[in-house]
Amino acid sequence: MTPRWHLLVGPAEGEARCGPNRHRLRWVAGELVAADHGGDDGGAVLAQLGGDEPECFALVRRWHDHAADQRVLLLGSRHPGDALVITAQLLDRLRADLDHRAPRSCRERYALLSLLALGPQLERRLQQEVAAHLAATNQLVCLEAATAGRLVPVLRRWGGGRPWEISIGEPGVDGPARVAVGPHWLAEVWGSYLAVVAGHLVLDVLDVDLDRARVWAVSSPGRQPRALTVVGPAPWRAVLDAGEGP
Amino acid sequence: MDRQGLAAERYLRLTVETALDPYRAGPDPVTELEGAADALAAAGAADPELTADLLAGLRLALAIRRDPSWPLPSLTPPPHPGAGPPPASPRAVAVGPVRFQLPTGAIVVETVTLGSDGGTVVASVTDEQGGRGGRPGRPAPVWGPPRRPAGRRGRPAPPAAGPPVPPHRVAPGPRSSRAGDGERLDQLRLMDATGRTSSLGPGARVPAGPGLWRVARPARGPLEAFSPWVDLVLPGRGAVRLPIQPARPPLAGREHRRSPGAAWVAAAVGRAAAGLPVAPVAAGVRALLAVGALDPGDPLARQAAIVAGKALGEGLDPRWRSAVERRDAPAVVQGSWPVGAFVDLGGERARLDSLHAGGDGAWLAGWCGPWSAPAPPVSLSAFDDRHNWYLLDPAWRLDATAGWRLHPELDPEARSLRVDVMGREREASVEIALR
Repeated sequence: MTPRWHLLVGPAEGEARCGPNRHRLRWVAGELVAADHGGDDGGAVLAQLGGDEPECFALVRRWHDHAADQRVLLLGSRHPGDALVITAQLLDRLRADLDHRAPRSCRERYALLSLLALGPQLERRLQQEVAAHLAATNQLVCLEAATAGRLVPVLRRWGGGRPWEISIGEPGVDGPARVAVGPHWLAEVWGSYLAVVAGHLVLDVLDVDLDRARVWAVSSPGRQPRALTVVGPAPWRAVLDAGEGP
Repeated sequence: MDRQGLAAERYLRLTVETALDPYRAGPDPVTELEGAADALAAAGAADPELTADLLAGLRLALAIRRDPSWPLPSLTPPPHPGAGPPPASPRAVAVGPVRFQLPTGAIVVETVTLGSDGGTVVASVTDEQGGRGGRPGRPAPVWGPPRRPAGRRGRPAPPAAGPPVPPHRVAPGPRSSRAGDGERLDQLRLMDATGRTSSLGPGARVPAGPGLWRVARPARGPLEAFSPWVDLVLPGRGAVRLPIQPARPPLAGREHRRSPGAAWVAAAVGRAAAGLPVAPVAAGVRALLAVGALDPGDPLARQAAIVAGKALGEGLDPRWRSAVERRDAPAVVQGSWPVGAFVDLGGERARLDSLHAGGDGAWLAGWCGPWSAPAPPVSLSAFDDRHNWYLLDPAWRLDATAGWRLHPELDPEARSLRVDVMGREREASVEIALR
């Protein structure tokens, strides 16, 4: 069954240095593919035979390896202004230190940073992958902190600079400074740039149908949430009121 | 994971998020997390591995958010050197110092411990270029009752010929050696009254000063813990006999009815009073209170607030005030005292082997465990019979031996010292007669 967050986002692309060239990697419906290698899996075969694995294939492999790695959420960007400075020179330097004697921690650091350096679109997809995994496996402590780190900047923009108490639970806004969102908020709402639509803070996604989604949203602090239909993908816009929510 | 553990993890993770918020206000985020992590791990509320991972992750996350910062922090923290098994049983103790003068430096054996769980030799070693004694800047001290170099198999040694050699000090032998001091320690032999001999296994060392190392080496073979003495033999350099003090009976701790975080707070307040760099007390106390690992009504919380505000006068408990007043006391006491105490606090165990004092200060050798966090699982403090209070601050740790430095220095008028060992739920006291 297709995860719901896959329906809320379109394809995403990033670039990486692969040998002497810059190649594209493309994420479509949950799969990362080495776009500039076509259907050619010669690189993977070459790697199995002891040759150098093209970086694009290595990145695809690392993507699968780290799709449930909590550290992605710790290191990853929290909002569009939170840019990561992972330069090609930095990656080259880290890669130069890797040989068969390099400790596992160095290899993992390089692997994670090379994934986060693929660009903001793919970095966000990877964060969504990890968040969806945490929600599915009920690892709520880590998920709650990661959600808070991404919801606070949204709330600051939407509801002012007051301190907010954030939790994962029944979606709602309790009083002027307490917000609860569903466990899928990070993967489905934040990851899809759905956090604020038409001035409404989106707390949860109720259902998705093609380019439309019904969301549970609140117009301002202290107001009751209500269902809202939005059309996407990002930038999302609200089209009509759908009455009361569940 | 229990409820407090979940609360601690949640607190630490949210602290990481706050640290990465560009609009945050307040102290340095890494220091803040360090204080919280240190306190929660010491209180047993947070998994030490998790706290170390989060700290490493935060450092890396901050590094990749600014212009490339070199060197890039590691993603995984190295295993900390304190990890080791808890002490298993009491140990008999023989104290030095026994100085073996070498052409290239010196080996000063400080303590030998013997027990059913093994034996350990703690020594100070100068490097080959050092040429300095076991105690920097002065000749090796002569402490304790006079002792004579050992004879063969326990017989009294013949009177020394030639110029007098201070007890415990073995003059350089006629043979010159280019062997390193580490290799010299490999040659050290321990012999008990039954004639059983033990060499030393590979150990570890930590720097103890310029050109000076502190070394702990396990005894390889079984030695009789009830032997009245142990001979230290360094081929070509001589032999010295040390009397052994039998181990004291194990001491069971009493419940202290404080919250699990109290030991950490007591140590942190003590460090502040002694003028030592202290992990952020306020951050640690905030974390402990938030997860319920510290009783808000505990007077220690008030003391922590006082030291966090740098106000070390008004309201500070007299015991810590005594440490503030004696901060600059000189190190004038010299001596070594065997302790041989074993404290069982239920969850934690501590072994107090010996107390040493010299020109470079006073320190207690021993071990405690399970030591899985950067901070030791027990907090040590001491009172003397002149009502002076001392902090025992972890100074070094090796395989299964650690050294706690006393702050401030020992009062030369003190005749006894009571060392308080405080764990998360229990505490116990060990008396040491200084005269």
